[in-house]
Amino acid sequence: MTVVARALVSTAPQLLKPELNPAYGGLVNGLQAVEVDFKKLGVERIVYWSTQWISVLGQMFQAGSDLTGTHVDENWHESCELPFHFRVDQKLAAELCAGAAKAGFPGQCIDYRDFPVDTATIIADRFLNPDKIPVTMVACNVYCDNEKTKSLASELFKILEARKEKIAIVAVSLLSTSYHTSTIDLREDAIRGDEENAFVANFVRAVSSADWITLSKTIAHDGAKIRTDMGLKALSWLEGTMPAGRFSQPWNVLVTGPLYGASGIVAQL
Amino acid sequence: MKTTRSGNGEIVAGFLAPHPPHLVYAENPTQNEPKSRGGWEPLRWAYENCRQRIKELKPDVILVHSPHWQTVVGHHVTATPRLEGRSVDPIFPHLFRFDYGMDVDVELAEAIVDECKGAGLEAKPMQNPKFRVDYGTIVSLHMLNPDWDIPVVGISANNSPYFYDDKIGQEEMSQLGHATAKAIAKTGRRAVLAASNTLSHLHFPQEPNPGLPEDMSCEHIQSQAQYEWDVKIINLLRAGKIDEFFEVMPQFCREAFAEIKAGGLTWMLEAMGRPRYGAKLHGYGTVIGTGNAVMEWLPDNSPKSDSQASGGQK
Repeated sequence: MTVVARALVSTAPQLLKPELNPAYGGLVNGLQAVEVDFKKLGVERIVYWSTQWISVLGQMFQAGSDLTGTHVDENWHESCELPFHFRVDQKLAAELCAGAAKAGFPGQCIDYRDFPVDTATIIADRFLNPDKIPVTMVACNVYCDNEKTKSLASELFKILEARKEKIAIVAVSLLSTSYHTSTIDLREDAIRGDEENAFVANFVRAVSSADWITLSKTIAHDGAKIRTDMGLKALSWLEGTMPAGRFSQPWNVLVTGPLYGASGIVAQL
Repeated sequence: MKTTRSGNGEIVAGFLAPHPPHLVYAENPTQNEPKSRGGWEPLRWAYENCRQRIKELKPDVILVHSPHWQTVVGHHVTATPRLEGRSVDPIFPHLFRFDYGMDVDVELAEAIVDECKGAGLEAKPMQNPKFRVDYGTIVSLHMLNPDWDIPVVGISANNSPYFYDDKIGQEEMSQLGHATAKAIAKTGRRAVLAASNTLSHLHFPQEPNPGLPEDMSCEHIQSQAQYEWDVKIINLLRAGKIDEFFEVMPQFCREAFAEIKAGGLTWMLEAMGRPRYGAKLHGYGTVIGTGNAVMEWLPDNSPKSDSQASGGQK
């Protein structure tokens, strides 16, 4: 097996100030635990998929030869200025792009100076990849529904499994996106809404006990109400990368917590 | 940059200014790295008319509301004297890698923030000079004024129309429009407004001809239903039937996935006092299946616009 780790992580600029809120500190600790695990497993490549990088005209794969710059967050521009540098495995990106096309998901490899990598991926990489091991990124295709996303992930998983390197697959996504819509004191940040809190609790219970039927029902019943992040397509993406094409083992949910009212999670699969 | 002038400012024109990056790509300006063989000429010719109008009006500032600068908490307004850098479109990077430079009317921007706060809206100035300006803002501004010789103010699209229901979201944009108009009046600016929005917004899931994005033999509306919706909306706006427009807007947004849901057009029309004179249609065209109209509202010339609504052209 070359895919040695899978994780679902949520990140936001608030995590750059973990001292402000114990919940932020908890999420950061969770990310750092995943990073330690990646090291133990000898992870040599990370493949990111983020709900904050969307594609609409086919599938996009990050193949930047010079993916360096400073990203200013669109929302928190006064406090979130992120220098970034990614070492991108261009060959891996090209292989994935070609494989996707062959499977009916045509698209393109992206290699452009000053390409705006999304905030969530930059922050995830900052915590998960301090040693700058090579990565690539796969865009979240708006026109791929959950089924198609899973199908694409399954095709790409076959390519990843045929590689020599030990690979980690990381989905970057929130659970709910019910942000606070007015300025709050970050020390008082909490997951917004009773329904959202209940959803997160049910979600964690289901994935921690491998109760996939309850998980499916929870998402179908409550998903729309709590403004899930891109319809929780991240789950379809991750499920497609499982050897059997479906979840089987319980997840190790390290932590959940608020990100300006939205709900975040750090979990290992 | 302008110094403070008090009172008597006015909105001298408003434009529906759609921002497919394809239009800048097709223009081949020196600022954009990718080069093309042209394409989408009817829309680009429509913009040429707008440029001429803007030159005649001699505005102090162009304000643009862009759905590709989406903000969660309140309305953000560019408020740093100079913004420059390279903007690569994350969605169409093969078409749009644009080296921009723009002077910002900071006084007006700050006045808008103040007026918003005074009206109970959340608002924030964007004062970071390293901020990357989004392609929606740049495309609309470049197509309206490729000389870039008029100061600008960029306004973000607060997420409220998607976060809440149609009524609450558009009400938020309506208040933003009123706050903008007050700020313009108080600072004495002659302002042009630009709503950076496409109409029907469902598009092809793949590039029809990846080897030649400007292959016009592949260009058409995504569906007949979208086309019929676009025509209905354009006709309402040409006829100045503003109340009827706002009545059908939620249904239009739902059925045609219209980008005006993001609030730019509501912001502009409310800032202009819900104009009941007809808008001038400069052109309509599709871009990868979406429906795009370039339209103009000219307050000083409303009688002429009314006659135009019955079929005449300026």
